[in-house]
Amino acid sequence: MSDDTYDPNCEAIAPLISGALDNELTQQQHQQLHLHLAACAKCSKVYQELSALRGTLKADFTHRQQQQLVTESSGAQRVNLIAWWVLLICGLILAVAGVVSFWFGSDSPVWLKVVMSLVGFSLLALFLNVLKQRLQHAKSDPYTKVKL
Amino acid sequence: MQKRHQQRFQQLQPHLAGAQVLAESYFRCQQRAADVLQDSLEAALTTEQFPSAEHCRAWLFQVVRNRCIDSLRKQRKLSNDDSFDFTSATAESTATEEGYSEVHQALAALPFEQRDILVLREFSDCSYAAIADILGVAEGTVMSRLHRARLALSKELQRRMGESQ
Repeated sequence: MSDDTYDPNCEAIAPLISGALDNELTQQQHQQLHLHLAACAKCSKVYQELSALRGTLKADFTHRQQQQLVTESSGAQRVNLIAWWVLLICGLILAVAGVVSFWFGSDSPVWLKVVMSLVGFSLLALFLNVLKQRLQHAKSDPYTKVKL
Repeated sequence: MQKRHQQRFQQLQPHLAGAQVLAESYFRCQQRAADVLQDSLEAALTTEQFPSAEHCRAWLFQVVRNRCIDSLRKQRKLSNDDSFDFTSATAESTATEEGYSEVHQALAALPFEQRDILVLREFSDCSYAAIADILGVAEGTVMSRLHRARLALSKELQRRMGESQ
């Protein structure tokens, strides 16, 4: 392989090596290659090297696929889910504590407390409304289980 | 309409993993590849010219490949790189090479044309007829191009192994 110069016969036959590795040759081409390989040590070596290269590529690809599967494994997803739940619960506790201390622990006038509470409730209502729409959409989406 | 989409999706579903691998070979970024595949899938489900079942795989790969190339071209345009020659470009994101094996790095170092055909054959498992359809070349050309690409990859791997020793 280190030598790039082929004699004309080798040059014409060489692509058939790839064809043979991919099982894409006709019987006639197979025979032609077989006869040539029996007589040409250089092309035989190329055949062996490319055959090994194919094995390396396949092994590497399989290894990469397995790595991806590990990354996307249920264990990793479970950790993600737990982390989200912890964040949600902590957020709720902080929000409730904030509302209680704002209403009962601050010296702000009552009208300000009422206005601020109304603003808070409006934002919450908007958020819940959008969430409801998204959930309805997700339920009726026929491609929801599509994994790319 | 929904039934038609579902029928098409059922035809395309077995080929999605191969299409994702193909898209990843252009971007070397799973998320970006998934985005392009999503776009291609949307186009495939709504197009008027959906192919017959036996040409479905090659057609999907062709759509994904064209979209990837469009996306890369757009990106180059945005970065004002007018001198960019797509056909001779090597895979992008060489800065993220650490996470990739020696084989993948060698593959990424090949010219676009050679990398493209190797990915279609070795990773997306396309037949010569399908590759010829996707690339728009004769089947005989596929064999010789693929052979040159393999020789180039082997040479590149040997060069890298020689450097590392």
